[in-house]
Amino acid sequence: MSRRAQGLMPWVWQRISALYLAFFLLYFLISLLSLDRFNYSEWTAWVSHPIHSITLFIAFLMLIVHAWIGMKDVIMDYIHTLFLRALVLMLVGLSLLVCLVWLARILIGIIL
Amino acid sequence: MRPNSTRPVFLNLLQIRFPPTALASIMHRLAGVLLVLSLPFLIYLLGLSLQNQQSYTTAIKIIQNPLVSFYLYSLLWAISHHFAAGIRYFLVDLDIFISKRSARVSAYVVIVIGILIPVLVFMGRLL
Repeated sequence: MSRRAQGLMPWVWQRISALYLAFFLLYFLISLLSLDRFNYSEWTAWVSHPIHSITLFIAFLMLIVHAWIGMKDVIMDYIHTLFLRALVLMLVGLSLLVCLVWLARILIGIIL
Repeated sequence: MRPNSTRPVFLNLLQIRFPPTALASIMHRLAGVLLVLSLPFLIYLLGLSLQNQQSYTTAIKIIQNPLVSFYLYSLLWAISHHFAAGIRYFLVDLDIFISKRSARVSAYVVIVIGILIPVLVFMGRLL
């Protein structure tokens, strides 16, 4: 991609992830609210249903992508010192990666 | 332009009027950052709720704590506002709400939706 269009891909991914998360959130709420009762076994059954596990995993991925793009924009707007900016970006990026691994482990734990 | 040292400077953030569009925008950012900073706690709760019956009960107990409950209601504001403002931005991308009047009105609607959802959920749970 040419240098002039450098910001285009994050812009596109911010919107793709936003759309996915918006529709998933609505489905998640409607689906859980339509359960007759809510307890531990209903909740784990919902999550371990294959369609839910897969869409949930994609939602976690999209969430981390969305969070990263948003945080990057905010950090670059407010932190101008190059060293500090790089440091904060790295810390936030690493933390989000840890969050993704953590989420994946929780999901794997419930499927297996 | 000549520098004018007598030019008044007024930067009192508490008194500068934010138009609703600017207010909705800064709240969208604030809500997003608040949600990201809350991720570790939310993931921790999710993990507890799925691990086993006992940890599920622990998770329920945690979210029933008044302070945690208040915090979660503020996160409900954050996600409601972020959601509504995000939809508004999608519509702005499609050249909807770009006249001055509709931009202001839609920004007010976004702010009200963000506040209304946690308030309605709170009142609904009281009934």
